[in-house]
Amino acid sequence: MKSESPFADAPKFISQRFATVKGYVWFAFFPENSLNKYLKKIEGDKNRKKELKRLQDIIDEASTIILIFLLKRFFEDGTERAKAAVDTLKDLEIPGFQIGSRFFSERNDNVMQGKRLAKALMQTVENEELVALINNSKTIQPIMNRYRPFILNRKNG
Amino acid sequence: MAEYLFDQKEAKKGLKEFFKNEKAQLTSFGNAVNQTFEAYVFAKVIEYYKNKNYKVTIVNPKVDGKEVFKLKFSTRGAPNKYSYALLEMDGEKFQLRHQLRISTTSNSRKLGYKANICCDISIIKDQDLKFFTTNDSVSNDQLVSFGEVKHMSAFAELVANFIGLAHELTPKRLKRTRIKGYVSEHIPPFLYVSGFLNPTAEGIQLSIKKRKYDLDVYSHEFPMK
Repeated sequence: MKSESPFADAPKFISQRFATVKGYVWFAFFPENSLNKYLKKIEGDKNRKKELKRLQDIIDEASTIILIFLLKRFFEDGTERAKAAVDTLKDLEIPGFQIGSRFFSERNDNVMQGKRLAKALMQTVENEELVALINNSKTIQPIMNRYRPFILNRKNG
Repeated sequence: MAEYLFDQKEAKKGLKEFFKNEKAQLTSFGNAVNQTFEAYVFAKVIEYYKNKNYKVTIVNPKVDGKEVFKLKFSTRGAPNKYSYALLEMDGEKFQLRHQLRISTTSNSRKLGYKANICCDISIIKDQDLKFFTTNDSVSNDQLVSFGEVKHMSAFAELVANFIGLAHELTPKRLKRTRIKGYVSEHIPPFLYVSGFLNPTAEGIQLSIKKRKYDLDVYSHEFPMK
């Protein structure tokens, strides 16, 4: 059964930005043409299909965590960049900057909005091990490394 | 669905709920996030010049007789209606501008159409732009450097597009410049993406370095210091 897209209710700017995450994860585990090469080594159509399904399940799961990680970072970065901009401008005696009707200044709600969204996002994750994995990762690499043994399991078998 | 480290179905359900419950906040965040990144890069360039001991002064337009700090988050608009940073050092003055139209090196009156590009960031020699309209462009010989700002991850075509911009605006930077003894008084032309460089973009970026071009590509992993 094909898994449902997590972007079904996401705003367009999110789905456009993050829709390629799964493709990126596939590429990271199987760069260039290595997936085809790997599958060709497996004897029999049935076994190849079985292995491809297994890899799809692993990569689907890893991609979901990486998506949450990247979304969290995206929101937090929004706040960090707004903070850096207002702080630099404050040094030049500019109290803040305006985007449309919104004024970004000090640590007001507009500046802190990304941080609040990141917190709300993480509250939807119930699995404590997953929360720790996301919070303790500075890049996607540690998450990839947690999944690598599952990939290698059959690859080396 | 097989489970390796966690229940994927639950996580996707949580994500769906998040997108649904936070729709208004997400839309508001999304409407400002690109401009916030541009404001951030504008501020980073100010920092670059402050670190080089330039005197930096913000020059603001007057609205109803009152000075107002206003960044230009659109390609449209006369430059004198927006703020800029005046950069001064040893009697030399430059302007750091946001979304300013610059003529390309190949622009000519004979063309029939103007050849110019609106730069997200530009550093130009100090001059009076009071009577410039939204369609007027600063002459290319007044351009010191420029920056392209994209709130996204980079792919090869984006980096190649930036090299194309440099070819039109600052072709002298596309020579073997970064050789022994290289120093740059001004910030070299740059592409700043908020995301990461995907492998294809990384390849083009490495080829820029190999060719010793005087260009920089900044990203989340390699931010402007």
